[in-house]
Amino acid sequence: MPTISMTVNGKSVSAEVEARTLLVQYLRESLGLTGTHVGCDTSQCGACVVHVNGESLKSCTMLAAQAEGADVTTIEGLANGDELHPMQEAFRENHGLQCGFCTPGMVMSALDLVQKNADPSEREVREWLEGNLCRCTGYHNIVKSILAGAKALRG
Amino acid sequence: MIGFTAVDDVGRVVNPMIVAGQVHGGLAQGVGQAVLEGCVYDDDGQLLTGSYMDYTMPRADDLPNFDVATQSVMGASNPLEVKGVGEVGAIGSPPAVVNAILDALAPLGVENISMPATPNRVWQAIQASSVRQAAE
Ligand code: FES
Ligand code: FES
Repeated sequence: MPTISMTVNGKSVSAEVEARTLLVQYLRESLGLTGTHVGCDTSQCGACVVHVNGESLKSCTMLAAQAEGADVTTIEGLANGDELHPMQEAFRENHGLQCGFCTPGMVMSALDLVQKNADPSEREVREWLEGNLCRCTGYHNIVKSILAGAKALRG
Repeated sequence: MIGFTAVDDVGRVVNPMIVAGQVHGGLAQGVGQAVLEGCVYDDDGQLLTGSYMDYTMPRADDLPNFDVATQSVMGASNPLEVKGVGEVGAIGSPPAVVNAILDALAPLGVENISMPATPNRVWQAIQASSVRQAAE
């Protein structure tokens, strides 16, 4: 079995994993970071989005071994202790979630959008989210949350 | 879709934010049912829509922001005067969307369409109607 090493939420981690282990499996099952969800396992829903070297990626679409040496951030890496990240706070404030299954992926995806486009329009947010499914909210409050989060991050 | 307005009677509104959220979610489900979502089986009973790529749920760019209002008559059956609001938007939205489609197709002689009114079904309805009109 190959040994892999990477940085997850600022901590160095290393493990022996089966070569076929997906990044999402490694995060959830080996590291216990179950904030990253699996909605489909086939790159369609976006529940598993994490950041790899600063870019949003569907972690069900990547082998853990492909993240060798990478800097990975999951939803657990955003809050500062008890203080939510401004994008998380915007989701809380604007009722941007119902069951919460899609939420970690939505937040991680949104953060990649705002680092590329700090002041997106409603349309740009909707188009950016085409890889993230939500069954509960109808997207209205997710879009509202992301616009509010982007505003908070612009300061 | 460029806009959607929904008005519901939910009895006493206890938490307006949650009420609007439930209506939004229901609207998206109803729109999905009207134009996108459907289970398709082949002749051997094999499900052909077993993934999110084939079973088409609405995505954020398929939907507009929703305009939501309540017009409430207090519920008489309980002391809180509440009524159900769980995903309530799903009730009115399929007929509203299908009626909008039929309204658009009326000049072409289309009088009926089954859900989900996918682009293929809309095209077939237009073709069937023009063949029928040509025969008359
Ligand atoms: S679990 Fe990765 S996209 Fe659905
Ligand atoms: S809040 Fe339930 S799937 Fe998005």
